[in-house]
Amino acid sequence: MALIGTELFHALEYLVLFLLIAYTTGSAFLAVTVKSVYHAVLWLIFTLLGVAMIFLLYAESALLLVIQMIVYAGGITILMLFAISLSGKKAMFEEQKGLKLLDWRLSFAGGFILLVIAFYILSQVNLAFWQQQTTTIKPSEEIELIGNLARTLFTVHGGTLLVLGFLLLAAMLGSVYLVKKEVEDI
Amino acid sequence: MIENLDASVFVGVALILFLIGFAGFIKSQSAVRMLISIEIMINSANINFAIFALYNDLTFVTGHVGVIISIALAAAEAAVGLGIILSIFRTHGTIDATDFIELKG
Repeated sequence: MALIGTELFHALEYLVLFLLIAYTTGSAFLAVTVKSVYHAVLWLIFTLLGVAMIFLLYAESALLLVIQMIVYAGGITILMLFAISLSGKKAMFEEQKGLKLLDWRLSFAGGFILLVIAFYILSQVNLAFWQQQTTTIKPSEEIELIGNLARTLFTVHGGTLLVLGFLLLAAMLGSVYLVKKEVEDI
Repeated sequence: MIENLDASVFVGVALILFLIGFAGFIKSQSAVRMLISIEIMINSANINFAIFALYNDLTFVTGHVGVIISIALAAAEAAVGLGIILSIFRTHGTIDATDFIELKG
């Protein structure tokens, strides 16, 4: 703060916010439009990293950044890359069949109309509901966030955590069962 | 962090991400790209969870717990989804979602 003026600092903060939003949404757009599925997974990694930066900078949670990077950007995407590699050469490029009704231009025109409607609804909600509350994010305070999170996770949400563990176990066993080769009867 | 930043900015970002994911899910024919679109949509929901957690008392971290649960659910979903894709590839020889017509009435 001492090196540069306060106004320049605020301008740079807004520039960072704008760049981060452009980076995240642009990567997401490329992830669904690029022809090669391999490249789509790579763009998905960039999207996930952008969301992780939003967690760190604007949700003030370094723990969520770490989890997002390890589980999402590191784990799920590598799983996807392996699935593409194991699915043969044809799986790497998406064949464009003549689905005229779901043409890109039409779907994005529909998406734009949805966006306008959603922004209208959002502004109405803002008028009706958010004005009753403080609509700005609270400034950071020096509190023990991660310790508090751990305490909440293992006391208030302990049952949820247990159910989640069983769900992950079931998912792992289910995927192993799906992928294992059929054993021939001897 | 920018002071007095309205959370509507991030709701808008989440909305755009959700719409991109939704459009990609409708458009795509590759089953893997469908999973990619679903991950983008889940991430847009996670942004809302994390941002609205700041509205409350900062000692009340249920929003962050929600994000952690959501990420674990997404991991389970991706594992099972990719298992199904590999299983279908083994029987059909393709992962094009428009070719899976076995359950068609």
